[in-house]
Amino acid sequence: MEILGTVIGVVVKSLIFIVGMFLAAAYLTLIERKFAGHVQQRPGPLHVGFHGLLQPIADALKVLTKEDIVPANVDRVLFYLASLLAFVPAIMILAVIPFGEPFTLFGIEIKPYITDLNVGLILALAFGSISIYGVIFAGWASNSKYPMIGGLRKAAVLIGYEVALGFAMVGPLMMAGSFSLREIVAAQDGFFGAFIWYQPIAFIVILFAILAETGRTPFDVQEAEAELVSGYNTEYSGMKFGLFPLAEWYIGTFVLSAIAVILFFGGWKGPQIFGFLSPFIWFFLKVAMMFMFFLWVHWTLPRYRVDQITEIAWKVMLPLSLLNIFITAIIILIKG
Amino acid sequence: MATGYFGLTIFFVLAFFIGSALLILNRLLAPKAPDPYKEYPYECGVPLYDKTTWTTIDQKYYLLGLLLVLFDLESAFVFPWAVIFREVAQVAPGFIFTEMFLFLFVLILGYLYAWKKGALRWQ
Repeated sequence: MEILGTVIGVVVKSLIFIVGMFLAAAYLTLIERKFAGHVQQRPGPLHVGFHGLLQPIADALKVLTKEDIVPANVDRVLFYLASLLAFVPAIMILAVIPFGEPFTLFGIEIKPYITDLNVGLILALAFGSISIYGVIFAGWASNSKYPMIGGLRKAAVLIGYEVALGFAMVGPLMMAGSFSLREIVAAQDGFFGAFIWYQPIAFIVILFAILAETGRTPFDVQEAEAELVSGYNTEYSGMKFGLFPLAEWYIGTFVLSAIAVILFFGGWKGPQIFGFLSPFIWFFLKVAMMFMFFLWVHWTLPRYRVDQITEIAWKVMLPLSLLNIFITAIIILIKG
Repeated sequence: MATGYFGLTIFFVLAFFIGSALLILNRLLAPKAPDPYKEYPYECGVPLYDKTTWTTIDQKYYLLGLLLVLFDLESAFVFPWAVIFREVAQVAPGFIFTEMFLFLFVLILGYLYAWKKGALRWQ
């Protein structure tokens, strides 16, 4: 009986997280389009609802009712699997992100996270690496030139930043002494306890790595609509297509922003000025700031060439992250 | 701890089913108007020159792929060390420091060698 209760609890909580993430992602598309519009001095979505407020719903319905075209000579299994492989790992990172400490509401203890594993950060890193298969499979399975080139480019970008990202995370890990994202937040006390003050190099490397992993502009060579039509998802249509930007641009950017906030900005910590809701408000404020930063970069900067991107990853980011480990180790040794 | 992985599994199953449900829903809701030209891969409207792209492609970063295997394994060794660093540094600071940096030193030598040989260049 008790097991059944736990199962139902976990299922309900997971559903809330996933559906919540979908709704959030839908409205993140609106935020991005509005933001992009104003960056480029145009209004963005304006006509569906008040200032485009119903636009995400219209878009969702449109994507769901578009014809599901599968070109004749694709690898059908991989073609469908690719959109799932892009989407599922991206949303799986959400399972290890804590949104706050457990609290009691109406006598029930509520934990605002799915699991608090002692390998949380490694799992996040692992799921982040799996999601690259979605893009590569999409490129391969499409059996068309532009997707193929897009998928290969994405692989080139990711194998560089994967390494830099892994090494950059070592710095905060040494400070916190745990893989558990909750304990990493617990290790950051007060305003000047946030790891951003101690790990600026790691933060910069991780910013670059997140931009590369989520395919945002200075590193969006896999899409590169000016040269590759739409890159790896050229042959996709309908919901198969919809899952790609949803996973990469919205869910991916959101969860990786959340990881960055947990690692460097003290997660949900902040002055208790909003009552019992303040941890959530602080967390979402910080994540929103990170997300807006990525949007800002995306809609401002031009695109690098793919060979320049990989050279930055291997010749700048990797030595920087190794240097950061060295500096962190020495500082911890001196200060104890 | 077992319950932690249990939650993760349930989350995975749900995420997978919701993703597939969206794809299936799309197939059910969408109109179907088959047309031979729709099944044609995107090619700017010109006839298809190559019937398939599943041939050998020169992807120009083979050596980087090899290096990725090397450095990803290396980071797998660095992670556990990083987690216990602060703890052990209080008891045996010299040991924990030299231990990892000897290891990293050897790998950095290899990295410099690869750099000098031009393996990090886009070939």
